Amino acid sequence: MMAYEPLAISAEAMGYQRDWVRALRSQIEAGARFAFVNADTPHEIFHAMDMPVVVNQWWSSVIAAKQLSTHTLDRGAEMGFHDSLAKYSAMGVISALDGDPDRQPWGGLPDPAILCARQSSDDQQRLFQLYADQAGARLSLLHAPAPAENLNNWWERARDDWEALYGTARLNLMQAQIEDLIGQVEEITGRAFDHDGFGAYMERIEEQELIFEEANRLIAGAERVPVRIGEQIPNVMIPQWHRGSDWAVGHAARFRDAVGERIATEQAVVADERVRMMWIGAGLWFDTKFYTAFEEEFGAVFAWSMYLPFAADGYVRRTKGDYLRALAARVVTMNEQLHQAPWANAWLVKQARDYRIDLAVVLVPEADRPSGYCTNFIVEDLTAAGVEVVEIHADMVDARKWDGARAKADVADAIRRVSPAT
Amino acid sequence: MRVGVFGFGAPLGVFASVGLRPVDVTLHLAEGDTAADRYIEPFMDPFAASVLSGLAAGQFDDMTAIIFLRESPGAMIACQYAFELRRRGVMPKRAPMPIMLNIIPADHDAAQAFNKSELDRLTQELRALGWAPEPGIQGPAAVFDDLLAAQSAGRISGAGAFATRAVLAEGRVVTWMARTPAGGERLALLGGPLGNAVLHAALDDIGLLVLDQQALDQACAAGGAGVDSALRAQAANPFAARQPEPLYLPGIEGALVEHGVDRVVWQVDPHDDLWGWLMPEVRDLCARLGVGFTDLGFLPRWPEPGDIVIGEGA
Repeated sequence: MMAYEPLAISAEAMGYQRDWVRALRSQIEAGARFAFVNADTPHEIFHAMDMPVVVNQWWSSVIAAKQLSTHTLDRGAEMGFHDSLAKYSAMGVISALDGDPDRQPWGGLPDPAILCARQSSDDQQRLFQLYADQAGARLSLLHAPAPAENLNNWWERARDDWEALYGTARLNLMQAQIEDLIGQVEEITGRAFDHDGFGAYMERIEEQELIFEEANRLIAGAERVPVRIGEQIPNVMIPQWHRGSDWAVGHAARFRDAVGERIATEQAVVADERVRMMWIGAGLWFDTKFYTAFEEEFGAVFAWSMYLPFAADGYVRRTKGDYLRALAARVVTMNEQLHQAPWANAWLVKQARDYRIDLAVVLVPEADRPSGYCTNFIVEDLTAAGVEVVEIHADMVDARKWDGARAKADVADAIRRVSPAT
Repeated sequence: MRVGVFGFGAPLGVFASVGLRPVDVTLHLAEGDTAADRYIEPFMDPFAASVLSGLAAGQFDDMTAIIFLRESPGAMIACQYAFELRRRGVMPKRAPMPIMLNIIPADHDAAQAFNKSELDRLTQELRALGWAPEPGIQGPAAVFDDLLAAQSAGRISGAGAFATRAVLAEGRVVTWMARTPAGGERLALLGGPLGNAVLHAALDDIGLLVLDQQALDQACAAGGAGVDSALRAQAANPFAARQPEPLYLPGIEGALVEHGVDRVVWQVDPHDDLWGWLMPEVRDLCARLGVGFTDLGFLPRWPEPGDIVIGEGA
């Protein structure tokens, strides 16, 4: 087996993020007022007003990657939070409540000036209130009413027909709350929101997401997978956190071009690729080596994670000149499209077909109900589409209950079912 | 035409304001195997799982529609599963139409406009199914308030109050016999909502169950006469599960003081993803008020007597 060569631009992305983190940390330590926000909130407002942002789920993944999740979650239990409560959205909050600088990345975050969450799951108002009380910070909670019915094919309709797909009443509400958020950030920063500048910024974001769509098509259509998902994810998510910036748009293009070059020169993760796999769920942040564990023995490669295809399907909302409303359309149902029927199951089947997937590995985080719901619809629909499915009941950030050997054995068994010769 | 409603904190005053008197199906316990079971994850909200099983088993076929309250934990996912199971042909053809309803517990201008548009959509969907508004409906809020007062005064047991409220929520008329107030430690039952009165009865046996969070939520959510007043009641409900304002702890504190509670009994569902975030603060509040605090931990939502262990020194 040939040795896998990471893309040169991956190190560049990691370096950019490292520099950005360093600068953010310096800014924060120097007293810059920052926002602590959930992943499915309108970051665009904070970016447009030059207010630093720490994303809750990213911070949670940093805690997990630094092998601090066991300590943090054990501390949560000592505080009285029972073990069925969510982990991914809670780790950063518990870490802040714990307040032990020796057990937090960067020695802990200073108090944010504002917290922002969308009430997409039932616990967000409680979690964020705990942190806001501790920090003495403003809390901006965005309502998350459900559509009258989840209509397919959302990934096609959402680009242009979002007013009908998501509903005028829900969009009115979200837009009004975004406008209220702008007012709050204006008060905190003392800066005025630049509507014209925001329009140009939204156009840059769309440009970026369409570049990612090209990269997605290249990987899906490649004879063999050219880039590991462990590399795809940072090359997508780092620019996504900085979406619309010159660097992010440029990096998206560099990633697309690097993928294209790999395909043109017939480079692949595995020379003798026999099984293509998809990873369904958030990243397994404390054990990312899991993604490469089946390459050498089985010629089985994870080709797909949600992060790259969702960049276009989850973000491209044609503005029609109304940038705040387009932003509302991007945010109003963002996370739900990945976890609710029939949105998630139909989209995943389409993705599996696009990528010619043989085997899907589904992460089922039982202590994170919204992320675990819809699993049985997904499994049934993928199976009907001819995809073998393995469920792994584990949490994306809780290393305490991770049984890596068992998970690897389950996936290996499934690979043998798909490709008996392996 | 019978219309059901699923979810805790039903805005019965809001419904009354548009001439709707739904039957509350939230506490319905569906038992037995159904075609829906293989789609229901083991960690699903148990009330959501039960209503889906009931729909699949044809147990609500006498209803034309069931309204699912998005702001009640589990109800949104139940509605989406109901849609999906219909789409897959798993639900019986006679099963009631699921209707998603968002009534946000907030009263800023955008929320008010949104809530009114949701009510318009609800009545349009119901009219399309053959429903006509019933004039002059009075919501049951006053009766719920009377029950809260009677329970606090010990004139009705905790289990009796639970059963009476359940009957009222089904749209039936009830009367109850006032009992001679009993003595004992004054208890409050807080945490996740329950599907039966087994725990209430157990607490009645060891003290005086004078306060039940589930009843407070029900009474607050049912409040208001006229649409504007009833919508404002949702925004003001401190016990609403997804209340975005920090009203819960002050609301609980006020209730514990008002009803002279000696001890709080706390419990949640084994897959609870909401109420557990509040427990440490409630525990600390009780300590500050000099109120005892007993955490029963996880309990099934329809507990059996054997599930309830109230140990020595609790």
